[in-house]
Amino acid sequence: MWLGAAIFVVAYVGIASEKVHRTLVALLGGVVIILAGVIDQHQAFAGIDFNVIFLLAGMMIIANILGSTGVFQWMAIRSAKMARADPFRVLVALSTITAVVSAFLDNVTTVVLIVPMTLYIASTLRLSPMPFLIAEILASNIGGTATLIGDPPNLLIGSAAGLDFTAFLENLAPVVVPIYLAFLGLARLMLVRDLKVDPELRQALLKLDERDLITNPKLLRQGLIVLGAVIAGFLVHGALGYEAATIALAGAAVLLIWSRYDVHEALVHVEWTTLLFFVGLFMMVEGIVRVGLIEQLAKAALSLTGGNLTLTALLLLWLSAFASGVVDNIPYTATMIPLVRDLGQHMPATPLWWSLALGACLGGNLTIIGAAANVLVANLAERSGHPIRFGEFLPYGAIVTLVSMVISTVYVWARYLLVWPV
Amino acid sequence: METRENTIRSTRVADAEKLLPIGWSPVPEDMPLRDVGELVSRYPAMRVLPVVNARQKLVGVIPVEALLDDIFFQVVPEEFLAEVRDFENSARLGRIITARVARDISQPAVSVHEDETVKVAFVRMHSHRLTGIPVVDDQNRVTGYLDMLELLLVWLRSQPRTRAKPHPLAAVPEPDPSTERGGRPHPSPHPQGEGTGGEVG
Repeated sequence: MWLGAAIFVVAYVGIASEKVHRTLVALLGGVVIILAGVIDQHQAFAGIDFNVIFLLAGMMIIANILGSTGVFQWMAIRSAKMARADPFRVLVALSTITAVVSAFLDNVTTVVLIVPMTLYIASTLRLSPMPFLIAEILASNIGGTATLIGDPPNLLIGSAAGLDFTAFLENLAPVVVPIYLAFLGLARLMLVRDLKVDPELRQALLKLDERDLITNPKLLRQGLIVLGAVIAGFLVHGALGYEAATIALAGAAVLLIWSRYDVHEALVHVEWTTLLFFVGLFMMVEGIVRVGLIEQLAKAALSLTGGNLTLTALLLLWLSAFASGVVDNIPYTATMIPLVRDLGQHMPATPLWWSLALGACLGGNLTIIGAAANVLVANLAERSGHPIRFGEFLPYGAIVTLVSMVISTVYVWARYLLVWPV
Repeated sequence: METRENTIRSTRVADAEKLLPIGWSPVPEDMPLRDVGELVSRYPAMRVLPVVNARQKLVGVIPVEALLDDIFFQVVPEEFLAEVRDFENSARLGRIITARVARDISQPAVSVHEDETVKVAFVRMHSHRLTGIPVVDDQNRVTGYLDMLELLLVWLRSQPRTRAKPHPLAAVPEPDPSTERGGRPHPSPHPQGEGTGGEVG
C-alpha cells in the first residue's frame, strides 16, 4: 500500500509544482504504478473512465467546430455594443457570455476565444483589460459549476456517482444563479467602480460590424442545431439509458459528417494533453484504491467527524474549495471520488457528492492557478503585455470564493442536511 | 575536390549581401509603429526589420508581414478577430491588439555574422521562417541586411546556363562595380536622428 501511496504523492507534488507538464507526470505515474507491481495493466486500464474521456473529446470537437465560425467573437462584440460600451455593462455582458458558454462547452475553449475580444474591446475603449479578464476567469468557474459538462470535476463526479445532466441542473443551477449575481455585485464594487470611457471611444466600438465576424453561416447553423440536439440529449440521456459520452460522440460524429468539416482539422484542436492527463490520473487513482489507501483515508475521515453527516458534508465543501484553489482541482476530485464513495457506505452520499462538486468547481476561483482556464487567461494576458500576478488576483479570487462558499454552505445545509437524519 | 555545392555553401555573407541594391535601416525598439510603417515605405525591399536598442545592438527582428498585420488590424479588425481558433492565434492577436512600439511586435533576434557562410544564413532564415536576416559584427551591431533573393542569386550564378541566352525577362543583375559595396545604398539614419550608417546612396 505504501509504495502505491508514495508513487501517488510524488506524482501529485509533481503536478502541483508545475515544473514538469502535468500530462507527463500523470502518464509516468500511471506507468510506474504498473511497473512497480502495485496493480497490473488490466486493473490500471479498468480504472480509466472512458465516459469522461470521450465526453470531453466529443464536446471539444463540437466546440472547436463552432469556434471556427466566429460565433463567440460575434457574441462578445454584439453584447459589448448592446451594452453601449459602458464599462460595467460590458463587464456584465462578457462575463455572462463566458459563464453561459462555460456551462455548456469546455472552459478552456471559451476563454481562448473570449480573451482576444476582451483585449480588443478594452483597447478600443482605452481601458485596462485587467478588470474584464479577472471577471471572466471568475465567471467561467462559476458558470461551469452549473452543469455536468461545465467543469471537469463535475464530469468526474457525474460519471462516478451516476448523476446525469438533469441531476446537475436541478441541484447546482439553483445555487449557481445567486452566486453569479453576488459575483456581479462584487465586480461592480471591486473591478469597475471608477472606470470611465470617453464618448468618442464608445463610438469607435459601436462602429464595428460584428456580422463580419461570422466566417461560415452555414456551418454555424449546423453547429448550433447539433449543439442543441446534444444538450437535449443530455437532458434525457439518463432516462434513455445512455451515458453522456455516447451523446457527445454522436453529436460530434453527426456534425463532422453533416458539415463535411475536415476531420484532421477538427481533431488537431482536441486537447489531447488534457485527455492523456486524465488517463494517467485514472490509472494512478485506481492504484491507490486497489491497495486500500482510500479505504484507510475514509475510515480516518469518519473518525474525525464522528460519522456526522452535516460536519462531513460541510468539511468536504470547504476542504474541497481550499484544495482546489491551491492545487489542480482535477486530480483532487479524482482522488476524493473513491473516498466519498466509501463514505457513502456509512452515510447518505447525495449531500457529499454535491458538496464535493461545489467545492471543487468554485474553489477554482481562489487563486490564479486554481483551474486550467485561470492559467490560460493568465498566459494569454502575459503574452499580450498585461500579466496577472498571483498576488494581484488573490484578493478578488479570495473574496468571490468566500462569498460563493457561504452561499453554498447555506444551500447545502438547507437543501440536503436539514431533511436528512444526522 | 571543391564542388559547386561546396562553393555555394562556403560563400561568405559579406560577399552575398552585395549582390542586390537593398537599402536598409535599423529600427529603434521604442519607435512607434506608425513611424516603423513609414520607415518601411522608404525601404520597400527590406522584408525583415532589425530592431536595435539604445546602444544600437540587435535585440529583435520584425518581419514586414507582422507589421502589416498590425496596420491592417486597425482597418479591418473583424478579419483578424474571426481567425482566433486556438491558444497560439489568441496570443498572437493579443500581441497585435496591445502593440504600440517596435518592441511589442518584435520577434527574438536572429542574425548572421558577415564572416559566416550563406549556408549558415539560409539555415537560420529557414528555421525561423524569415525571408531576410540582419548582418551583425562582433559586438552584435547591425552592419547589413541579407535577403533571401541574394541567396537565390548566389545559386543562380553558380548554375551553368541551359540556353545560349536567358529569357529577356529573366536577366540576372550583375553587381555595379562603380559604387562601394557593389551598388548597395548605405543605411540612412532613422527618423529619430540616431543611426548606424551613412547617407542613402
